[in-house]
Amino acid sequence: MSDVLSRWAGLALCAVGLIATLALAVTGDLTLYIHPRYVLFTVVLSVLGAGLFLASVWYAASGGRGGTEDGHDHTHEHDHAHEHQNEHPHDHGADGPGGPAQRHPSPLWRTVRGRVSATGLAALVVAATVALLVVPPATLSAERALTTATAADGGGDVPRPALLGSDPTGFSVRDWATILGGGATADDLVGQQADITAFVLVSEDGSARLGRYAVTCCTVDAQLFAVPVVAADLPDGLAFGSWVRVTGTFADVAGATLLHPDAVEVVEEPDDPYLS
Amino acid sequence: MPTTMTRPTPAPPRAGVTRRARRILLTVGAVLTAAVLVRAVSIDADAPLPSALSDGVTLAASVIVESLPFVFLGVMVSIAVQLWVPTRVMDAVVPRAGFARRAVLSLLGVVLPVCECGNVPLARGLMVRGFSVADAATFLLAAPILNPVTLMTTYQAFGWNDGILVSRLVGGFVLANLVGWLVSLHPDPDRLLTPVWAAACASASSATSAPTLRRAAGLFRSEVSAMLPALFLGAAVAGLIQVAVSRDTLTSIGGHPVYGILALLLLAFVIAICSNVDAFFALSLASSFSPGALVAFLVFGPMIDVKMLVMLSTTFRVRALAGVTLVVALGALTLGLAVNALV
Repeated sequence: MSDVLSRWAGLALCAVGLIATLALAVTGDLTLYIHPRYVLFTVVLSVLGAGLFLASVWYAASGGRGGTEDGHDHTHEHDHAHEHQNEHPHDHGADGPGGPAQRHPSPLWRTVRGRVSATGLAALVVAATVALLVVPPATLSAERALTTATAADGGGDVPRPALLGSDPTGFSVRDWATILGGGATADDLVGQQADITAFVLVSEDGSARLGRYAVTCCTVDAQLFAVPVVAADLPDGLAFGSWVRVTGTFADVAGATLLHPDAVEVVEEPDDPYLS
Repeated sequence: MPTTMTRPTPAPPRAGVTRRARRILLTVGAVLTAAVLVRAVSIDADAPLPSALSDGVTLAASVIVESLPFVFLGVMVSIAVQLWVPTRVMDAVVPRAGFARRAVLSLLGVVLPVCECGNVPLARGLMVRGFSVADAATFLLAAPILNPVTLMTTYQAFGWNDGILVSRLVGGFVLANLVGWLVSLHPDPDRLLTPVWAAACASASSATSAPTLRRAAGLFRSEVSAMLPALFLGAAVAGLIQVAVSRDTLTSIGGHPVYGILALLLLAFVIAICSNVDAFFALSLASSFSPGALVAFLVFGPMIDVKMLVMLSTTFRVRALAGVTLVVALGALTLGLAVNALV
């Protein structure tokens, strides 16, 4: 059993990763995990990888017979007996006395270690299958957003938009968040109509924000951008984290610049939940 | 990898797709079909998971989806180097002597532009081709920084501001060569390697009659078997840490000239993002951290992080990795302090 595992675990993980990636590519959901600029690269390399994977399976099946040396991978227990017949063919720097032979652990220890690593590998394959193939793809939760500090500027490679000469209804949550983060007040934003799609964040003190994550490479580096909104103007019974499309203008409320919604429409989560 | 090449028996006759082989192929085919079907059914389902668990799975999955193609690229370049680049070509191009040799090798990332995940299989391929441990360590640490993609994105993010680009470039080069030099001082460098990997390098032989595709498939299989368990485990740990430890505890430390550097070193370690794009992430921290802290983040992160350590543990002993981590962390800290003092 542990022999089968050590022979096939790597290829099993490879298959899980390939199926997960290519399935996401087919449904157009790769951007749930990576920035759009990597989609092409990821698909091309996954297709090439799938080719090598199939070739490896073919030769692994038709090659070695039973437990022969062939195809034993080196991460796991491995018979070193033949290796000392050929003297180190390469220059490995100063190869002092006490070559690998004297460091071999005892057979018992190797058996124990083999068992442990086989169990670990099996657990890893099962966990990877569940996480990547069984659990449906998801976006980061709004609960996480509540405990995340918002980014006020930078936002990776996207510069702060210029208010002059652009159409502010095309601005995203990030654009407005960086404009507000730059110190703009309602006076600067008179007559500017915002039109944003975001999820609703209500803090314990009752203040509300409209938030959206931005991703620069993959979801691990997701940063939250948020625009404060007048909580009283949101419709009652709006579920925490639900996606809304809000149009409105900015107003100063008690020294802070808040979005004052004219219209709030509950919408489905967009196909591109992360700004890129 | 080596033993697949030294197999004494010739390839089985063409007609001999044995009954056993057919059984294995059928089993694999059935498992793959089942996996695809499961995915097809589950991909549009609703996720009933609690949000913290769901976030952990999402974060780990994103590390895997992002890194996997880079690992494939690294494995493919590694296979190409092992199959088609003769040792004498490399000996002709690369100087033989210590410092000059390592200096040239640390620039290898310019012609083999693979970021840090892909560098591990590539470095292993170079070691099988006879590179010393010190050579491989220098390449592993330098290449993720000294490559065109990383430098371009760093330039896009920071331009020439605060000397961040130059400090990253020079600092990465010096630090990688420092570690390489320290490793070369070791009386028996093979002791820094895991026994299994040291034996694999020692038994490597380029003499073989197996057809190229067969050898390529064998190399792919052994490299994937070594790398993917490490990558998946590293991704799981990275996802867990991201859920358990709030990033804000670190970023709130902010502008302190010393603690800020330490905080970003720790952040670089846990967040494990790709060196090709980490400059964009660092830019978002620029308003609250000193330039020295950003440089430390940009130099340390590509060399060492939680995912990289797990991947490197396939090749290097834990003690060696602890030493390298310590030297790199101290080096990055020194670099950060120097930048803060000068800028």
